[in-house]
Amino acid sequence: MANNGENPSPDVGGKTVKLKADDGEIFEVEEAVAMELQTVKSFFDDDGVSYDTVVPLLNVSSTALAKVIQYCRRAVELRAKSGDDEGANEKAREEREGLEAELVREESDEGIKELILAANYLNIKDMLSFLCRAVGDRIKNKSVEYVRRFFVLENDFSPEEEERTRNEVAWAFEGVDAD
Amino acid sequence: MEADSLIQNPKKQRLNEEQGIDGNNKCFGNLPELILRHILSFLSIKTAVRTSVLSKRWQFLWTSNPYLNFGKHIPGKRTLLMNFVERVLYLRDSSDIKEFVLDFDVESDACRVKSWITAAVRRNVQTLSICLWGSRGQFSLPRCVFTCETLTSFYLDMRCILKVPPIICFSNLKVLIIENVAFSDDYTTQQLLSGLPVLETLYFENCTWGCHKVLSISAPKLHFLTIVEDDDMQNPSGCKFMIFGPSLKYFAYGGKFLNEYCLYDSLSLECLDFDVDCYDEWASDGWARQVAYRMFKVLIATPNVQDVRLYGNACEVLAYAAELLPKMPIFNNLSYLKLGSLKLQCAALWKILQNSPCLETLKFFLIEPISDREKADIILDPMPSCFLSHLKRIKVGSYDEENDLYVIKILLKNAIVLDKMVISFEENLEMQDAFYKQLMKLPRGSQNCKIVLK
Repeated sequence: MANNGENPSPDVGGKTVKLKADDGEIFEVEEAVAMELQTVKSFFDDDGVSYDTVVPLLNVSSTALAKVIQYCRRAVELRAKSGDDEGANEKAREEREGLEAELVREESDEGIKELILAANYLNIKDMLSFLCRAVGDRIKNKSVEYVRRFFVLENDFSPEEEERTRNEVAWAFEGVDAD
Repeated sequence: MEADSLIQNPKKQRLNEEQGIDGNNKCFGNLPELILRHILSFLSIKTAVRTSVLSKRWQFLWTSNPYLNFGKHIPGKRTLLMNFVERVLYLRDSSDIKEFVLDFDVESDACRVKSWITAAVRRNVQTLSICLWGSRGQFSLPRCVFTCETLTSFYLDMRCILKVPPIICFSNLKVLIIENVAFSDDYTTQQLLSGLPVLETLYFENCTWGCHKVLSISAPKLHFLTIVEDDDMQNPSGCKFMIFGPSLKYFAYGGKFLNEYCLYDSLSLECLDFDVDCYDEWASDGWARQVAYRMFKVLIATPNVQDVRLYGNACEVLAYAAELLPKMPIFNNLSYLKLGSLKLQCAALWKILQNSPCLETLKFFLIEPISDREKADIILDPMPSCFLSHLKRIKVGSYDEENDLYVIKILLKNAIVLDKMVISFEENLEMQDAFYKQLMKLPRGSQNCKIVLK
């Protein structure tokens, strides 16, 4: 059971779950954190699956999984902090937003896409939402070429088709508002 | 054979199906369609439409964007905006519209604007925000708006007479905000106010109520009610509102009480906010007394309130009805009082303080200057009991050296359980230091209290 330096041992006493990334690396995570990943939760919801079973996550790289786990850990902590007190709620929300911004800021375009795919596969709604919003922010005011490169898109329009499409939506390119 | 591989395959297949991942999309660039649509939903509709030129796959991805916020109307671009709205609506697929926001100068295009709103309603819109002007008289909303069962938030700002149809059904409406509307004289206005079964937030600003003399608002789930009335509304006799809100937690009123508000069933009200400005010219007309009576009516109905905010010169206004002061209820739960200005020489404020035995926090932005003559009016004996037992925090919004020291002295001396007094003092460090030293020299009723300058 590999347990490398990147993944510190969880607190003694809590139940843990083992997650295996696509390269075989195993992450041991507290149960509460693991259940943030709906995919993992469904895995165990089935009858007869013991919590000792290693969950195979073949579509997630170890780098992505490490970041996902880190985010979910902090998210669970922050959620525990907020309660009925409005002030505490506000503070927890701000901290969470700061956490999200930090995660996104450091990522390359490839990194973000990888995280999106991971969050999608692992079915973590909140994480997927803020990642998608971050991508939206990144492409918001960029040129068509830039966005094509970002999504690794081949321009499969013929020159005539492209011309026609551009004309059809020319109205969207007119300065209707100041972006 | 490993135990987990038996479980693995069917699980993995199920996982893949649930996520809708294409089997051959291992490459990062090709994000699944659902995700692309999700990303697009965070873009403004204008930006989203531009993605149709990216590639064939992207041509119509934007058409399911459920958030249609066409942005603020820009002068000179009116026709462009109209064309844009219509093109989006035509090219859209049939998926639901979650949000439709329009800010527009109608001019003579009432029909077209109505059709846009109808289109949104027919696509099960949940949040509808319409700000229209320039319709020269009458613009009537399409009737289907009033029977839209998917509507959860409705914001309307329209300087018109609102024609409410005879049949309305707002079975999911939780938030209703209406500004600048003139409600019609007939029974439909009352019908609207009675037809809000799950409404939680209600906000009226600068609305007029025609010739209605009495109206009632009955909303069993209503939590937040705010009414703001403008100066130049013309209805001398006003309208009396009976408000039945057993779940009402927050009531805020700003204006001159041109109408009257009677709260019933409001023993659970937690927060009361009055912003009343009543100047001397009103005092002579007897209107000031009317305002005082109307404020009082609300106070008497809400003795359990926990949080009271009084802005403008609300306290002074209350004092115009001196005969009512002895009838001021005891606010046993009032722990937080926030004032626009602290006027210790005002009898009404003093009465409120005396009737709030559990007041813990007192905040105010300014201190009203006290003349020497008025200083005698402040009755320090008996001191309000909250000063002796509960008042822990005082926050002062701004400090004016000439006038305010007298009041600060009184507070410091008499609040004997005070934990902390915070004073916003925006001067340079030197002056802050000097002021702080001056404060520390003042006699303090509570030895442990901290004084903080901001």
